[in-house]
Amino acid sequence: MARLRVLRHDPGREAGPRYQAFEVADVPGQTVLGALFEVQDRQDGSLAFRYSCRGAVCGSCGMLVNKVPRLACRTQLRDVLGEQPSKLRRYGPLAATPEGWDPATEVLVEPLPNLRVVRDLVVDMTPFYEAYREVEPWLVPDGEPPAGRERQMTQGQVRHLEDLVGCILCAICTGACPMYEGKPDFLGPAALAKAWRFHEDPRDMRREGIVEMLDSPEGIGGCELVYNCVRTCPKGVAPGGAIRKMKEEAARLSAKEGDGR
Amino acid sequence: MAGSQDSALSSSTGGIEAAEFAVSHDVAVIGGGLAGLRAALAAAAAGADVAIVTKVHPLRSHSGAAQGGINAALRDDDSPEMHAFDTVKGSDYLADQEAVMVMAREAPARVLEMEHWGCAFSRTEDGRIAQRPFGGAGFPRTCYAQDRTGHSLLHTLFETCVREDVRVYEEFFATRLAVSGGRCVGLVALDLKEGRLVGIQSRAVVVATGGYGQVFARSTNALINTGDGAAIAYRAGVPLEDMEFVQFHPTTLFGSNILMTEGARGEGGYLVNGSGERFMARYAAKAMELGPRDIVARAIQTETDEGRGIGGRPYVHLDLRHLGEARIIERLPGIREIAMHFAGVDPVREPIPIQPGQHYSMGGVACDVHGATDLPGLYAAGEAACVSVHGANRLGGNSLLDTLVFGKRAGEAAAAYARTAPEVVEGDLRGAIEEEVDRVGEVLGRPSGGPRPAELRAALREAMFARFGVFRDGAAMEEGLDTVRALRGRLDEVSVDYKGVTFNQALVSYLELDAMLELAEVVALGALRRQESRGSHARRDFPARDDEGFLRHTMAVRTSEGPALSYRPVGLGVFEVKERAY
Repeated sequence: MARLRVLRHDPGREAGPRYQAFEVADVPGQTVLGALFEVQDRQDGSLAFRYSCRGAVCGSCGMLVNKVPRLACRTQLRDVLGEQPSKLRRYGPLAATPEGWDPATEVLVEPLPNLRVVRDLVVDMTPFYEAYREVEPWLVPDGEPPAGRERQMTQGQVRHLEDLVGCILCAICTGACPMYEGKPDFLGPAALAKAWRFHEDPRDMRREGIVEMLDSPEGIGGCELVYNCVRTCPKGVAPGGAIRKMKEEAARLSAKEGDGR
Repeated sequence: MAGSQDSALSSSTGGIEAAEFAVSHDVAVIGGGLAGLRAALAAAAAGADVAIVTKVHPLRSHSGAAQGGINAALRDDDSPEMHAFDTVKGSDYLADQEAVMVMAREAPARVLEMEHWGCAFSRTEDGRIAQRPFGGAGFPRTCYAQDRTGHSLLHTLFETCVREDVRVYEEFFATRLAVSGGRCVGLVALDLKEGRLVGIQSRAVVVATGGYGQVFARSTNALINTGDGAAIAYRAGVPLEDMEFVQFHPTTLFGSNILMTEGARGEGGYLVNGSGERFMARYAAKAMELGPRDIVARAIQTETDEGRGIGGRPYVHLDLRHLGEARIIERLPGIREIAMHFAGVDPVREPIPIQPGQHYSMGGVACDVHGATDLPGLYAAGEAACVSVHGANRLGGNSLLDTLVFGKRAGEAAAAYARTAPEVVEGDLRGAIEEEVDRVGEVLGRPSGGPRPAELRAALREAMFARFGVFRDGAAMEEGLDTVRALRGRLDEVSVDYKGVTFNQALVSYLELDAMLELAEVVALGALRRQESRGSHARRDFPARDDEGFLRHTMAVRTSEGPALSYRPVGLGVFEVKERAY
């Protein structure tokens, strides 16, 4: 058996969160998501958490496991029982540990930080999706597409986009990022990486316009290149790397503008 | 009402109430996967005020899990006719041939449109959309984006919906269609976050809720694929078609049954049994690993049933090692990642343990090539629908295509209908809302201590896989049908042990179970009555195809005594019905 310590909270009803311990079977292949289902299905139907694909492609089940943002479906229970502390930069919610939690014997499960709790492990994703919309995440092509065929791209150009396209918008980077503190309007790593995906797409005509649009304190200025997002991204998107390139491009653009004066 | 929240939470009759408002749109699309998004875009383009109603955020839809690709005859040496022929043959001649022609003819336009909207398809050396060979296809016509084609298409289509500012009611679980004056006038949905039942008035509704894979154990499907949309259409009196045809995918990861794409075999992967033999030579000598899914799934099942699995266990190996690391990383990174994380196996160095698993629902809400059902105002598209273009066995690469071709068509047809249909007034939904409030209230009001939804769900899934799996026979199916009916009989005893309003997933689980039991009975009865073997429906007691008796579609209509079955002729006339050989 393995022990989970799960944050429970119903903000409409309770003043603050509490932690509840559950015993679950520790069979090989058991994931954190599987363990949560064992609780919900057999022990306590009141536990709330998001899920869908259970195969690490839909991005529903991002949560904090032992203070590290991860996909619950892809996290093997045995791998996180008694694991070494992570190398993430610890900020508020990643640093504070609940009283009584014994990392050697218990897996700690909490909602993603930087998003309001709706109930238990379900967070309000509205600001996350709003930031995504804010960056205008769609292709703006140069003119009409060729009739009856595709726009030409080389496989090299596609390959260059693939890691960025692979983003599943799970908000794990949001939960890992220390930069939201006092900056609720920060667009965050996922939205900025999405913008960079279109910047890098040879079919998109906006080019530097994308960087100019996001060269603001809420945009790339809000990032201090801590790279917690890169360390926790389950898909290898490396949002921090994209933001660094955007910052370099913004610096180049403003230098050019300076020259022009 | 003072303290309504507290009383709602503590009330023994449950606290889910009707919202004090109703919303109104021209077209409501239930489901936010590829079919639903495409339908919504088409309806919006036709000038309709459209809204998507979905129980998960659109990006969490199961479409995103599709891996291998999407079929379209893009090359001069391929043709829509060849695509249609492969599809009809693959369907074991149960698909309606004109409908298949529609799909094959419109395929290039739908795929190119996705490229134009930004989908990052993998490319050939000359910069065109890359295509790979797929099972049962006479030409390499499966367009792909690595092995994450569904993900890329879903994100591209969602991005396009964001651009067009399509309204989405996310985490709204549609639990009932509203019918008034003989037409569909909207739906009732459970708003999961706020915990209330909302009436959504609309002149037309499109059901695009995907398949019902969770009815079976060992399914590749997302946990949300419980067939809710098909079930509410069925309850509204609409026939379900060919529900006994359930696809078992040959290669699902042993243990978790996560999909390992057919693209892995398209790229040249081998299937190998416990003696190291490429056993497909004995089942499909010419096509080998690229036989159609029903045949390959039966081959694997036979190997393991007869003790030729790996170490005698119920799986065989999908071996990619000879493809080399570079090609695996370039073309199949997604399944490599899944194999590593979920089975601890790196396909570059080790073969992947796989077994057949439930994958796709060929049957669904009966509709025509415009998605129109028998109920005026109600349309269906994608896996929830049965046009029928997949017949008794779907070819790989045709499901993503189905969502785009028929999603667009259903959206357009729904918008056109909405333009001429009389206005829906608030009173039209009142009855449906009241009945839903009563239904949910009754469930929440039950005393605790009964079985939990999960207990019945697990029993249902095991019974369905054991009795209606890769191979079937009459006696086992009789038992299976009895089990399903017994479980349905016990539904009234099930208790929901959480009465709260916010994100009550215990209640969701109950409502899903209700839908699953409804559909399972149709699958079971349809399978039992079909005394032949065709495509995915393989009976040991009736091993031959019987065109005289069963070259026809099963139509199921709900009655108080269970499903009433009748049969409808198959649309033929383009291709000659023949014996299937690969």
